[in-house]
Amino acid sequence: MELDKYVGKRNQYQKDIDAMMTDYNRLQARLSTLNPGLIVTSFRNAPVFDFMNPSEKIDQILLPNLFYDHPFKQIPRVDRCRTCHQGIDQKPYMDAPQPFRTHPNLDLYLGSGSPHPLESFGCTTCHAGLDRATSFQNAGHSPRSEEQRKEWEKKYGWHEDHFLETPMHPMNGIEAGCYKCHNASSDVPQAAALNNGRDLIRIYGCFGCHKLPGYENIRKVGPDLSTVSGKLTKEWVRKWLMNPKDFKSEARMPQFWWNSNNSGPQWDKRNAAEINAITEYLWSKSKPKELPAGRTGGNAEAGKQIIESVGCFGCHAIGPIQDVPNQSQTRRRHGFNLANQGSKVSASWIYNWVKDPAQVWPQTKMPSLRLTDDEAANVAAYLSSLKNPEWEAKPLPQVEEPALDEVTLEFLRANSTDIEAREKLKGMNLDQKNLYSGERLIARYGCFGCHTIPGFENAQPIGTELTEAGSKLISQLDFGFLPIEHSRHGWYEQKLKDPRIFDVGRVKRPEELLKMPNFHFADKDVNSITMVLTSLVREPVPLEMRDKTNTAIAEGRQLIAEKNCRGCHLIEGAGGDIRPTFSAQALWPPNLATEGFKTQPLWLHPFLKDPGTVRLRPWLTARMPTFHFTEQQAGTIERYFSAVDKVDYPFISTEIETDAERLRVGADLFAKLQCQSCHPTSNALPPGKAPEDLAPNLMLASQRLRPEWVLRWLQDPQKIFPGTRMPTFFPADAAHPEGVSPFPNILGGDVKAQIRAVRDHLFITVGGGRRSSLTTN
Amino acid sequence: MHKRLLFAFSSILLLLLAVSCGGGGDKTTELPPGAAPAAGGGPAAPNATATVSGKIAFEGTPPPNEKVQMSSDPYCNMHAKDYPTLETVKVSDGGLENVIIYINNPPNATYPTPTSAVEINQENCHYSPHVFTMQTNQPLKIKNSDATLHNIHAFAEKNPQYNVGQPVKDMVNETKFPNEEMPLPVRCDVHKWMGAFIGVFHHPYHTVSKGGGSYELKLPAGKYEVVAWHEKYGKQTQMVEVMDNGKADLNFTFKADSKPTD
Repeated sequence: MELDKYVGKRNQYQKDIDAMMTDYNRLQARLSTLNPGLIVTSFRNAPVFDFMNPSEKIDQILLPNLFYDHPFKQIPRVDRCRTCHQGIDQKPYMDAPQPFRTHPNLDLYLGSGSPHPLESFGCTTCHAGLDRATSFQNAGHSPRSEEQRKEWEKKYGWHEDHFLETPMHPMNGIEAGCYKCHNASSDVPQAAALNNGRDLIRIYGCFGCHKLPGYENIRKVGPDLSTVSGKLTKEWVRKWLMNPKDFKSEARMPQFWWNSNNSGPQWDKRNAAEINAITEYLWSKSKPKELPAGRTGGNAEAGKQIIESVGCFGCHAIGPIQDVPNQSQTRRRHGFNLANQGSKVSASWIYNWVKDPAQVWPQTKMPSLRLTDDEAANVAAYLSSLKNPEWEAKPLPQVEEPALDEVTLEFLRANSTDIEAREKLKGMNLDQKNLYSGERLIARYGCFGCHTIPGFENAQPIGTELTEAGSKLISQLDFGFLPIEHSRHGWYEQKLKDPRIFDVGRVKRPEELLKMPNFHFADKDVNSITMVLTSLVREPVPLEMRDKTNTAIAEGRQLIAEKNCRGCHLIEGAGGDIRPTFSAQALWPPNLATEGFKTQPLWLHPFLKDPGTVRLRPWLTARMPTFHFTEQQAGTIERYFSAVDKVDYPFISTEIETDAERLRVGADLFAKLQCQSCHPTSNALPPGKAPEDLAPNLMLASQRLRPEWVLRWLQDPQKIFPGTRMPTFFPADAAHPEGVSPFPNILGGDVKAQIRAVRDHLFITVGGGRRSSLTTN
Repeated sequence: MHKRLLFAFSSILLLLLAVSCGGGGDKTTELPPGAAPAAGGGPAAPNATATVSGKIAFEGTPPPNEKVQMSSDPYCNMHAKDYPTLETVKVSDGGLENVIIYINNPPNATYPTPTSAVEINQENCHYSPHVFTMQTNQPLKIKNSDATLHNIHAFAEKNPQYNVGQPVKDMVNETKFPNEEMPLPVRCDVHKWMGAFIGVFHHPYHTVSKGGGSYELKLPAGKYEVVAWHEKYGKQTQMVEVMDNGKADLNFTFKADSKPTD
């Protein structure tokens, strides 16, 4: 008996050993095929015989529709990357050492079922680099950091290749590869940094000076200066121009003076004279707008509360923006930062502005929040109390005429001899010199790229065209005397960090100096913008590979970005930046997932045009602003939502086919499910409830919602809006994928029938919706 | 020249040999050795014979808990007279209750999932218990003892969203959380004061401090990083080492005026 136990155990162990040996033998057999020994291998690879089946051979993918853009000739791509990157499209090698490692995202790239299969996209289409290369150096690998560069130099003898025009995008700039195909709409899916770069270009207005694809026909980013004298003082503008970041660190206007090529004692007087001349020119041309006298004397404390609650923070912030985990805050930079406004504009001006921005500046992007006179006065009182005393106390540099003469003479000399120029200068008084120089300085610096300035209505932008910035020959980039990486990536990064540093070490006349101003971008933003620039390549991509985003969607996304809808709303899963500024989830602006499938076109259109008349949650202080959308713009938004959800637009049926019995059951369920615990059925705040207890008014459901959406919503709200406060009453489990009702005795516990009954009650009895002629009773 | 000829000749001989031997595989479709996929699973869970116990002491005057305004639901207003405040800081005998104690570095093992359910009840418009722990995939029974609508909404970041309405008195729903999440806050959206916290762990080494702030953890022998977490005061961490069948005392102290650390 005892022995049997041990024999059994022995057999068990023997079995385990056998199982292990099977694996071992299998692997050994595989190994011997792979590596049949030195003699066979060297024979297979020997000259003459290597045509048969060498063990070392090039693994290449032919891409006849994709081209490598050589000068004067386009050659089909032949990607040989897999010669070394053997495991790139095979799942199990996630932890293998490079170059054998699996691609980190096979679901999106390379897999045959992915949107970018290896056989038709290859590698260099996205990564760039030299397609035919078979060595680490020639392939054009680009290090992502200084450490990696050092590591590569040591390990592979890597060095910069001055002759390779298309090195790979470094890993921290990899999203640049997406844009050549994904250029139909403003968001590239899953390319956060690239999208951030494109947002930054829109916010900072790079397209004002540089031609950039995708930014045509956009309003200039800066304020209209044809009315500037009605808003600001000359002293303020002069001080501001010295360095806008001194006024508030979040200022978006870049710094033109006291940069790396115009700082130092010899520049102080000249810079002050230039700034003064520009200011004088602006004032001489400015025709302030007639505005009603704004109400002043509001309550600043009340104003603060209004700003914090009506929704200003969807586009604006006051002072630095705190990072919030898992929530973007960049859209709160869409409007300018409200810090220190009291040191800039008067309370009366702010009053007129917040009452209706469009009456002050018809082209403004700021919508009207429909503030009452009292509310506007309170907001004006609060904003004008935000001051920067340190800045106010800063002295303005003295403007001296000799410095102005020097500037004026330079411009005069451009068209005449030195003697003539001096003669002309003698004949000019101070005003004439200022206006003459001011106009020419504005032309030199291209101020009209961002601002409307009288006299420059038809001026052409002054910056280099960047339409093909990603294909610009590296030999055409001037690296100056800087010890930086000689690559496109390296140059653009440096240019964005300090645009004029390339002048350092050079002797130039003032008019020859680099002119691009310094935006003082953070490193992360520099990286994002560089990514956009390196993404703008010339390479032709065949039509069938290009982003086929529907025009309705592309146009909608463009308008949504322009109006910053995502500052408040979640749209296609992104946005809602304002959310962390509210104390409770019930106060958030709505998530617009499934909006096209959810709302009736006949409701949405008038709502977009005039949101003040239809309020879903009138108890909230936050409100949808009035954007003064044109018919066309409202239509663009509606078509966009319908196209995203692939639903009919604009003609849909909202009739409900029902019967009296179903309506009776629906009413019973409506009461039993206690929908009214949260959803009022009128515009009044129910007694005892606070705004943060409530959900939308159900009276409006039948006019607002599409009947089939309500069925889907009631089934599982989390599927539509993850995290929503609305619970499901019919939780699904493995045995009941359609859900289980808490009322097994009503309609036989049939979840679908119960949901339909509630919907019918909601639409017909509560909301007075239309019944179909097929309806019985 | 002569050498090359010789080489070519011998190569032809070898070629015949190679063909007769069947030749090698095609290297281009093969992968390097040593790049094999990692094996899954782990060893069985060790026996937890050691005991770590102690007290979560509370220093200072406990801050008053927020008063609950229940006017929004008449049912709660009538039935919840015994719970006028939240249970944010619950102190008894100088000890802090409702503190989750767990270890950060459990032995690498596959822990069996308990089949017994953890229960949470909604009673008189409060969650009972207010703080508890459970294991991943362990069943959680959710009961509504009130004759009013509650919804139990887990604000999960690492688990699927869970938000179920319970309109019927004494109804019970069951769910489980597949992923570790600490803490997993739970709220009722109908009654904004109702909140609970769950600690979900893949191992069994976690507990919640009881009356007097006392707790007891059963652990296998080893050296551990023990964490004490409180909803208001955040995390504290201490190291402890225990032998098989050994005992260790480990006390934590939370101060009334301390800022949350996590």
